[in-house]
Amino acid sequence: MFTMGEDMMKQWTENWEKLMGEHLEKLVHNEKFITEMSKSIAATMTGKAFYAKAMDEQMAALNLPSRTEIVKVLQKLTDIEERLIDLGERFEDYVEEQAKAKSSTESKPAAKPAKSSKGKGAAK
Amino acid sequence: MKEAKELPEGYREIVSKSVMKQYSQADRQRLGMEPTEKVAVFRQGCWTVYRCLPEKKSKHLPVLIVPSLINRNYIMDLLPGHSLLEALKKAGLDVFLIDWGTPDSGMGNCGFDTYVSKYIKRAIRHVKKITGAAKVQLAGQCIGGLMVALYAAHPELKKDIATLFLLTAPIDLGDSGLLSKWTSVEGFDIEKMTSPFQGIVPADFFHASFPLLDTKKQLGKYRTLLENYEMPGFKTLWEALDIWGTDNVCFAKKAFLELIKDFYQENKFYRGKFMIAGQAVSVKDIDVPTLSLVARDDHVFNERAARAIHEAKCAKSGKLEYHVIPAGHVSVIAAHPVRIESYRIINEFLTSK
Repeated sequence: MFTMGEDMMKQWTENWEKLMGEHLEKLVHNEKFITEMSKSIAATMTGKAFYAKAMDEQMAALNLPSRTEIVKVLQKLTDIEERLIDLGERFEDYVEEQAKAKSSTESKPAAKPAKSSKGKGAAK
Repeated sequence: MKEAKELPEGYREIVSKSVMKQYSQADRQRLGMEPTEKVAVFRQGCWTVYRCLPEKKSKHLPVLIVPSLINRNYIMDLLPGHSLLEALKKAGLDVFLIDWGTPDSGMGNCGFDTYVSKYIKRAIRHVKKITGAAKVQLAGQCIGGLMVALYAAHPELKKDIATLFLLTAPIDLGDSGLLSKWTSVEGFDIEKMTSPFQGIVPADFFHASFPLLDTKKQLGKYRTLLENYEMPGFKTLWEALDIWGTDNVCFAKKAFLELIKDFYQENKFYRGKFMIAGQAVSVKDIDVPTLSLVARDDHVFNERAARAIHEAKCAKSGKLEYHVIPAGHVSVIAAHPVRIESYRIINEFLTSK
């Protein structure tokens, strides 16, 4: 059970939540607000990108690897890993196919009727 | 006048951890999160395919679950009794789960095409090899659902799958809720917004906007905890969900740009223009038996986003099961009594193959 002070506090919190909720809800649905926010974020990020590029150039001037270069190396490594796994899978498939082909050649003498039907087809 | 009550024991600590996002592995263990034991069966870069234990020969086709790229996969294995994986295992299914891990800058060039036509394809290859099954049952949650739908719509790739299970998966992102509204306004230039990021888009960048999707719930978060603190099990569930909700993952930059530009702004999949392995794919081409489980009160994607599956061939040929569950994006499978009904529907569908 709540005390009088707690009841008041609870009431106040509920009202605050309700008002803030309604206000924020309106704001996040307001197209003008969203547009302005988007533009503002885009502008901030463009500035940040400019700064990052300047940093890259400074690193290059010092003959040190820049973030861009490190990311490029990491991307190359990801590509190489993908290629290696892909080649491994292709090799596995090839070995499987070979094994299947081998087992079917080994069992060929037993499949005499198939041979005769092939012959018939050829005669036609 | 009565004396004001003290805050319950431990309340301050929980709130403090939540506000500061300072949860640790010990917290997860204390709560008993991720109860289903798993073993890694394949690893590439940051992503892994896990098999749920115990390994048992199942009379049903194996299930591969593809989680979202935005959050961690353990929402499907939150707590004992609140775990989709646990429910699937109890139904006798052989379950595999992808963990996308934390992408590094090296994955910057990985778009949805790479995720779908290379990674998911590879995961399926391993599941087939391990189980000896000719086909798998492919399931996807949230963005993972979109990814498996892309897979099922591709004429060659779809040959691997027997059934498709979409869990709160958006298909038509054109008018799918607040996120689509935000991305469609004039001046929303995602290229500029992400221009300082190389390789990956940090989780903080896009997760900052998530609480705004459900402002009222967010504002009452700690009050709800206080009011229900003594309710058996509530505190554990609250903490587990908060841990999951604050455990955010960064996004490979190409995939993030595609998500916003190609899916949200241009709705390419729904319009049949998104390219997978060199081929344009459309939702209309999905013809495998499909189950789509949609959350009625989803604050991330509305029901309209999932309803587009009715335009697929599977719906026209009577192979679509579509259920709208009175729950939220997450509570459809955890933390809500309705999850039991969800598990029943899912198990019934997946054990039919």
